[in-house]
Amino acid sequence: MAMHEDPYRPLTIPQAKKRLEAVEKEEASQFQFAIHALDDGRLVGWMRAESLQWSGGSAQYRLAIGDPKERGKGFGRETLELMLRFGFDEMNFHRIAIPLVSYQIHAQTELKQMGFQIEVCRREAIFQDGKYWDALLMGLMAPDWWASHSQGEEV
Amino acid sequence: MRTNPVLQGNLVQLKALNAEEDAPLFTEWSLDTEYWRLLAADPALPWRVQRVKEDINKGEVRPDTFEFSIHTLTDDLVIGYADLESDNLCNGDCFLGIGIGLRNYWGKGFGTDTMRILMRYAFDVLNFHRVSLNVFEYNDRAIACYQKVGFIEEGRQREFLHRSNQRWDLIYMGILRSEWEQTQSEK
Repeated sequence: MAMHEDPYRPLTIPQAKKRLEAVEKEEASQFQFAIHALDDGRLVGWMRAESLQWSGGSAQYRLAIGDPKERGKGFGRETLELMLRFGFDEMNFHRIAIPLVSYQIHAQTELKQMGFQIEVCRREAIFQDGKYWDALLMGLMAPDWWASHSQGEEV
Repeated sequence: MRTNPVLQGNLVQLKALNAEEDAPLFTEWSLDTEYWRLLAADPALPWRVQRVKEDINKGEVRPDTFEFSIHTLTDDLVIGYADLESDNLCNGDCFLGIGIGLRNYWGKGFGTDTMRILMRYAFDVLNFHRVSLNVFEYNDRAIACYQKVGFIEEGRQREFLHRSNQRWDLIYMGILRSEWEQTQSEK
């Protein structure tokens, strides 16, 4: 669930700062959060809601756990569950989409478990490792999320 | 080798944007609610001619964005706007955008001619691997045009738009280079 469709590019600290500041400047159309572990507060990743279409109630999410050692521990899943509540219960989104690459099989399985469906498959839209891959969009609608989450429930 | 201008079709020619000529037209079209709802997901918001002029006059050349005004071949009239924009050039994918602002030119083949030029430019000049586009579920005329030139549906974001008290899907369509080449050899 990372930004796998972008080419790899090491960033200088000023470049990384500029990127984060650019998101903050567009706070009407993007929200971003740092993901911290509860036990010692360390930073393990980031999460962003972008492409916000307020009139239609639509958003796109991106999420990454940066350190490979922190992956597979449930940080991503819990972050996404929190962000779905934030999106549907606080921001009143009608739908949320997550972009993926077709080789991200594990993420697709997890998102399906959470109620997401593959909505769009742009064929051969990503070229990596000498091969073309499909660019997927998985979507979840508010009524489907509310059907399995009662009001006032804690995540 | 191609001898005809690559950005010229049977009915139209694509040219660089021109602030003095295009900005007043684009601004006028932004007041046409039907045009706007066929074109954009954003709420209708009248443009300011000065702002449009400034944007065009910035003179910024981005490697990933190709913008054109659509001119009729017969009398060089500006009838619309078109662009190709790539999120990431490494992947060889781009999104196509097109709007015919002058209503007299709807349903007469000017959009289709523009589409064929844009696809030729994307595949023959820019060497993209595929071309993508978005279209709203209710835009029947555009969907028919896109299908006619070879695009196929690749899915839809369900209930993406909320307009006229109804929810509408955002349809994704695409065409691969191999599919476009097939349409060329059939000609």
